[in-house]
Amino acid sequence: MEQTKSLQLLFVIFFVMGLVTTNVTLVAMSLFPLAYLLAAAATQRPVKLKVSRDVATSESHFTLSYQVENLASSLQLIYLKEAIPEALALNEQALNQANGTSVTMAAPLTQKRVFNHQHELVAKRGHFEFSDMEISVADFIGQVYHRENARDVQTVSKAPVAKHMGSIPLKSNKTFGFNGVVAAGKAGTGEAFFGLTQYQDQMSSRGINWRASAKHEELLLANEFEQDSNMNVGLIVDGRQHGHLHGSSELAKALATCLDNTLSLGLTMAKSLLNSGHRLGLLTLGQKMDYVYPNFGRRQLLKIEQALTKVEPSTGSEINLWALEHKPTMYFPNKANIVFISQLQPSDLPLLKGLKRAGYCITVIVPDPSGLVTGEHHEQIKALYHLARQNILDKFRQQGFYLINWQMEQSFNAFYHQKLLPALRLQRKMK
Amino acid sequence: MIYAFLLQLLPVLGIGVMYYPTGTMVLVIVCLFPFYRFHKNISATIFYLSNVALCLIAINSAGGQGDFYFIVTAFAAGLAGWQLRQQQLEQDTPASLKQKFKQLMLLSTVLLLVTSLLNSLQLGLNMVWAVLLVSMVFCLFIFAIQCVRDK
Repeated sequence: MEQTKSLQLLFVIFFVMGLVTTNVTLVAMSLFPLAYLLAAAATQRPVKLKVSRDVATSESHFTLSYQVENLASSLQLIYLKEAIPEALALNEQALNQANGTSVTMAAPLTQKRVFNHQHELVAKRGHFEFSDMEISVADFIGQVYHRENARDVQTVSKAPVAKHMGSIPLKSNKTFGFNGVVAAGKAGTGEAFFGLTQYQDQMSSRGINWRASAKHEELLLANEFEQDSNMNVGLIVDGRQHGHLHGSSELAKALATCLDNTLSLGLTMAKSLLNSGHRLGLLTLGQKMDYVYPNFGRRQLLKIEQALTKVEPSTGSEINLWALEHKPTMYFPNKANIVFISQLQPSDLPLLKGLKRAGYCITVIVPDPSGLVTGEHHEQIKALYHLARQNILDKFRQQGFYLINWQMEQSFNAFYHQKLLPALRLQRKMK
Repeated sequence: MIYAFLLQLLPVLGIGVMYYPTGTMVLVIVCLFPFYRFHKNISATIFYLSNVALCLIAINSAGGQGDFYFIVTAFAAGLAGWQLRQQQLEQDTPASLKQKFKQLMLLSTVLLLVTSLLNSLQLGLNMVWAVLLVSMVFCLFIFAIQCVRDK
């Protein structure tokens, strides 16, 4: 309406001045804003639009499909605008997509026609919500806009990628039989040698014990391992980003990849642990704290996947971890094994001490994102990072925590076989 | 955008040069148009200031007749350009802006022709007709505002 107000003002000024000075030119000039107003009044149409939006997720893209249906008279131009969630918009801008902050569209629309518009966004791990769309329709000369807000809440999410990982031999203080059966002394997937059995078709050929089979003429024997007992496991995935490694876009990118990889490792480990039959609970630390109550099975894996999808990196605010430090049984059962995936900070030392004091078995995996940094000075950045980290991590080591260092440029498979398995086996042997 | 700017500028500059070889008026018109590049508020300010200049010239010229065509043409073009800038939305594509520009210019040109025709006929109106015409214009104005508000 502001536009018509300025036209009204213009008309009144020229008209009055023209009459006062009896100047024909001024009166003629006043006719122009009047004509604009009349044209706007005459050509403004009643608006009745039906707007819907669908969000589809594919491997690499989120596709937003808009459908605008015109139920009333035909319209010159309609405009559609929707703000993209902030995290996605930042991603788009980082990829140098023009106009990354909003979806905009302008098109003519005749009566009873449906207009389709598609917008593709580069997919990113996370949980995003789309809600308000703004639609404007103008009259013939674009003088008066009819603006409408359509609310259509839709969410889209992309879970972290879960890879395959073998069984994770955690040290346990307390185990429990599954469904009343005493698990100890049963053959199954595990670490310790249990005995020999006849080779079956579905068994892995790597399990064949050739030396034992050689003693029999028509018998192929395979190794059998002892079933690991089930235990309570608590997984703590830390998405907090601290001061280090901040700066250029290269570093910001490395940090984002680091968080995604950490969450992927969390999900992969959760999958492996749940497959082994453990009872698993999850605690994520990021912008806020999220908690999944310990449970078994496939449904629990879905819950954990959802929780990990929603983790956002923290932006400065500290989470209050008092309860976790002093009353950890609120989160995880007594004597559970806790897997803590975190880039440790000095402030985490009392937390880990508190967990240890409460009788938990703690496995700490420390991701090292310095290998992800590319660019001109990556060697120097790496050296500086290690120097700073060494100082912090030494304090944890002095307190008797065994830290498993994870070079992030390493593949999951290599990390599992070269670092995680030997470290966990060593931890198992230690008292 | 530059295309639209030049299209608007050329005829007006032509008339300006024809009527005012001294160049003072050309300066005023040039001030009128570059507001495509500015913020909406700045373009509005330039437009209003140029209007004041045009008004002063119209009042000072003999009987308000001498510069009629030139002033009205400059005003019509200026109004169209200013409105185009005011109505530009974030969603506008070059194609939709071009369409808007065409519509505004069409309206301005038609009105310019009508006004010029009326002026060239030099209608000698008596007082009664003049009052009637003025009140009719005013009624139209009120009617237009009402229509725009209702919707």
